[in-house]
Amino acid sequence: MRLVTIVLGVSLLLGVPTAPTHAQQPDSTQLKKFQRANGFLRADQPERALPLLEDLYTDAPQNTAFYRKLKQTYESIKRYDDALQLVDDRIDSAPTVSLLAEKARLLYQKGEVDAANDTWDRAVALAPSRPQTYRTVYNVLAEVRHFRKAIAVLREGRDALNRPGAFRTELAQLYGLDGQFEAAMQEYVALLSEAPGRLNYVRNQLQTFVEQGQGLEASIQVLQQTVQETPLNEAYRELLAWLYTERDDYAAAFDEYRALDRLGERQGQILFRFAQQAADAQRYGVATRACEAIQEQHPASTVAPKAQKLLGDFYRRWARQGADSTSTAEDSARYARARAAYKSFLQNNPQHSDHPEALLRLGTLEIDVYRALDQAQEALDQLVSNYSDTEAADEGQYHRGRIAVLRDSLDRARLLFSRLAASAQSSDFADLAQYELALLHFYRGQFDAAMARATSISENPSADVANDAIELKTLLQEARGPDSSDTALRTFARARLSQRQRAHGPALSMLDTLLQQHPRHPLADDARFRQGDLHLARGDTAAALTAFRAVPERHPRSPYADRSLFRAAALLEASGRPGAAAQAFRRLLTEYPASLLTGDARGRLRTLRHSQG
Amino acid sequence: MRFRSVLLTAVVLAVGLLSAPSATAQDLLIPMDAQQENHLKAYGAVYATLQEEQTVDWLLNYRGGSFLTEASETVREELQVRGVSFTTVSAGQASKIIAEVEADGSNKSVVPLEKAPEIAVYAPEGAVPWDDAVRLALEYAEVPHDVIYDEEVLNGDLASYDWLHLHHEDFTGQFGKFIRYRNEPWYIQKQNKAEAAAKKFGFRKVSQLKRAVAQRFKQYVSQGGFLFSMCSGTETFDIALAAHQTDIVPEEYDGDPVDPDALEQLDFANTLAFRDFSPNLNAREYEHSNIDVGPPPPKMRDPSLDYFTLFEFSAKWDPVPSMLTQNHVATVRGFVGQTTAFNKDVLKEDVVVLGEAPDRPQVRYIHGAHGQGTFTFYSGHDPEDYQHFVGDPPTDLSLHPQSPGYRLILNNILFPAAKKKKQKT
Repeated sequence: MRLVTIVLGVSLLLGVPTAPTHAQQPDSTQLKKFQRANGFLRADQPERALPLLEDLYTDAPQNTAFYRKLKQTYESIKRYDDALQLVDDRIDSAPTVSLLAEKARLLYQKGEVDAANDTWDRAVALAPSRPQTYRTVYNVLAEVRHFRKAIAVLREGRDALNRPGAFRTELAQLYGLDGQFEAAMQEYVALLSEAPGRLNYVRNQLQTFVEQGQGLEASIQVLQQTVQETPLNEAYRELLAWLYTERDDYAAAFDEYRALDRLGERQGQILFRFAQQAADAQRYGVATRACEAIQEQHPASTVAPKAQKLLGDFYRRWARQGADSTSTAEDSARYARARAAYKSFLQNNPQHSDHPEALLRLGTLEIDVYRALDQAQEALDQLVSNYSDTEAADEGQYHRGRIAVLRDSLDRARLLFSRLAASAQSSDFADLAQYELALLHFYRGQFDAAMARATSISENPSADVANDAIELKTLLQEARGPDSSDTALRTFARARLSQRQRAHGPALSMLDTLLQQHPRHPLADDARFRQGDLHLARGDTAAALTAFRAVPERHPRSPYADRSLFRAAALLEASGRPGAAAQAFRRLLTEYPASLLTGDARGRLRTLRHSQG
Repeated sequence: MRFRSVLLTAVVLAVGLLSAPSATAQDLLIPMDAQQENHLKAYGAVYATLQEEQTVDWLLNYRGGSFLTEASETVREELQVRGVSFTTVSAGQASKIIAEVEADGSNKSVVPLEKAPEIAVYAPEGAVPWDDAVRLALEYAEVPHDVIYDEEVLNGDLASYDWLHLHHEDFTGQFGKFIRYRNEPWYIQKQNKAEAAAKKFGFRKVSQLKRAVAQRFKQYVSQGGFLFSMCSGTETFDIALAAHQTDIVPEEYDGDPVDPDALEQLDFANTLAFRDFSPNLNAREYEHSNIDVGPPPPKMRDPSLDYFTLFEFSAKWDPVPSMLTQNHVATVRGFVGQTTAFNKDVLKEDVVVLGEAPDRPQVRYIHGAHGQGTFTFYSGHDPEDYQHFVGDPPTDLSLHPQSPGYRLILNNILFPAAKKKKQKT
């Protein structure tokens, strides 16, 4: 309390003007009265504070502290006329810009907008050649959010002062708040031409209204025009490029970044950064163009090798992303470009740190896309022998094992997977190798050994392959017999190996044999479902449809029944038989209401209903 | 007011008695008890059936408020596609069900639903459905609706709609009292848009615009409209109506102070549901008034302990509140919002309490009549997100297809579909 008293006393003393006639040092009585008034105001009792403040003001009208507090109190209870009278008294004795601006504010609060505007004009007219005049009036106008008038005052100030660059940031902000986005952008453009280093400031300011579609479009239009007129200004282009990415227009942003790279002689560095940004947003078309531009225009730059490797990555991801939505030809072309990019990178940059990663990617492409096992083997052998201590080498070793399986070299596969299981740096690959070893036992009919390995993996639920191991374990538990040599399961295991090796014909005939010899075996439903898949892989949709339809007919309670029905329905839909497809989807909903595929079936039914009108 | 309520009850009751449904060759029964796999989609399917001009009987208190309608291939397919459980019943079985429902002494009744109501949601442009539980429910249940805002309301478009939901609007003109976000782009944008809209319609302040809109809504109800609102859309609506002769908006929001005698000038005769409440005049405090009792204290804010119970009404004598409380459970999990629960002490006398928190002087779900229409207020933000914060991800209703809390919202959209006929004299 003592501190408050001292501060209050000092402020009251400061409030005493130098003019001697009315000036009085606030005596202790006034000080106490003022403190009491303040106490009432803090207690939200303005009606009790008011008589005290009025007395104080009558005693010392030139005391600024008394004047302000009284005016503030009148305002708080909306006695605007009384507050205005106080201001008018001061204006009568010595009009100033701030007093007139204050009077205008009170008139505005009172609802007399026209009178307020006139008074603000009077304030400006009082000292039109001083920049501070416009700032004072602008501050008051911004405080009451009277943006249009504030804009008019600042523009008037520019003209009167003959300084077209005055109040740049204030006007830009006001235009933005008032929804005049083009005008705002024009101010920012002018600001950047005077101070290109303020790009980040401008970007921060724009962030508020780029979230409004209208603001974004207007800003882009202004900047496009500006860039056209001053194509060498980097700040404009950078801002425009950023706005394009905010609009998700990466193609347009690419043009700007390419120009920026050229203007700044950055040797592809800006393009490289942009390529990564575009790829993160899954705009692979633009990302690959940016990488290709680096190769063409800056083949000797430091980022060129990395861009070459990324080019392969981006084409590969693009092909994979488009697998469901684009044509096979397009995907093939993308894979081909990925393959070419990796090969080119490997050939030209043998010492690069990304070399092992590129070998791995090329190797997996050769296996999974091109089924070119020799080429894959070559890349992966090189990876494992030259970069044995890398994680890429572990994965390479795993794929070498896969190649051995595909080539039916099961002994070699066992050797490779065993080594990997023993030496892998990552537990994921060790688990994966263990699972492959279990499968190798399974393919060979060594079911007890397969079971032991599958059990061991499934005991670690955090392993990625735990689910696969559990599935294998369940198969082994349920499908042995009926004879002691497990003939049906052996045939099934061989069929699965053939299927994995893409030997579709032999796999189909093995499954046929199984079904003929053991028509009631627990594996019969799985075998039929797998036959459908194999026919599909061979491109025989009619046979696939027959196989899928057979599952719910012959094995209505099988876990494969709903899946088969769904596949059959999808095949019917794809072959232009919407009526039959809808019937199959409906059957799935009716007969298998608990199926996990019901949501998808409903979705397909909706689409069919819409397409059929 | 009480007379009107009784009259409305009698009208709906008469409907049930006069138009006892006749069982056709085959009917579809859509159970709404625990056997239903997707309660929320069931409402959408019933709505779609009504759109096809096929009547549906709402069997109040029969297996959670089940629906019975004539079996047609279109309806069957609609139900299948939406994943709604149903059973086909023969004419004999349907008659038996109806006889059971209509039997003397059973607290069940049949309400025929005849016409799909025209639905509007009052929400600003750019508002996303997941900001609002009702829009989430309508989107998920696939119930078509229009989104309207101030312009449509002030231009008199309300008359085209049977049912109206108020989005999370702050009718007091304080922008949700989110002053702490005042420097965030979304807040700046919201304030600018609201101020521009106010100016466009000739209002100097946003609070004046919102008050005019609230008055239009009140007029809509008095002329027979069905109004539904949730969370702060309930509380601020009545505050705005009460403050029609004064200024309760602090300077931080509208640039001038609150009227010194604002509290004395509140006009509770102008409100729909609440009386004698005190608006919170502190700009920095998030609460709008003492209508809301607020969330449980932090130490007790436990979703597993927070619940409210639904009142059981006589299906034959009180069909309106019965319709609004149809559910497969008697207790519903509580949920917090800017307006979490209504203070029982400030409820108007003729307001019907539909759901309340046990052993606490607070209610969660209320209903009342005004003129020829009705209003229903439901407190809290999102029945399946106990405490929703700004920027939280939207609730995925496919994970809550049996949500009792959301069912209460959807009961409201079918309630205007109930056939109204004058009682024979």
